[in-house]
Amino acid sequence: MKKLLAALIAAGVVCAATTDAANTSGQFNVNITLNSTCSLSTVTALDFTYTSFQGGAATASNGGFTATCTNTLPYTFGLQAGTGAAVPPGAATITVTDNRVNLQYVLGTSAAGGTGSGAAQSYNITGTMAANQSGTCATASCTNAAATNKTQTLILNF
Amino acid sequence: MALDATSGTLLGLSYSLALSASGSGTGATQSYNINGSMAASQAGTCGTGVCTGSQTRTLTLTW
Repeated sequence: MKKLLAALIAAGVVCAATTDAANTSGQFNVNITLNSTCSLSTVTALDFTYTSFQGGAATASNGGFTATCTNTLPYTFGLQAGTGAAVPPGAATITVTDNRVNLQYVLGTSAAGGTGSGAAQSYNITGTMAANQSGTCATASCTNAAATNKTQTLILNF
Repeated sequence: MALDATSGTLLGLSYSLALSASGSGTGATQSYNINGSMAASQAGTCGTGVCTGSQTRTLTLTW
């Protein structure tokens, strides 16, 4: 048998099995269109505490919010008095006289804007109320809960 | 069939690629797809309103 196999191999009748693979390839593109965007969190209410004719200006507390924008996308903030449809870009500051307690205040933002990082970035609405205002209050203490112009608009431009 | 890479990052967005199937020859044209997916909630990187980008990948058919 061994002699027969050797003879067949010598004659080229039996060959070692091969498993050579063949292949072909092609290229294709992965195309991406990225639309930039920004989102704004809710803004916490600003709180003023004021005593009629006080000698120094009052500064509001709270007013924090976050802006989340596409990485590297620049953006700016604007303010607009009232709750009407936003008219971009808004103003850097707005002055409002509360129609319940008759105190005037000025609102601004802690920064004019920024550049998106892909994560939430924190800012504040700032508020000041000038000294020596009388205000209107028939009792010892009043709030502007019933004011109709206490809600303002923050605009995020990008 | 195989891809040279099954994932990539473009414009700060990660994506993955996968082949729809492998098969056996029939003597006729057979259709397949390369499926792409991109996870939700990615920020991406784009300093303007709209950005575009492209990467070239290779599909290899082995038999």
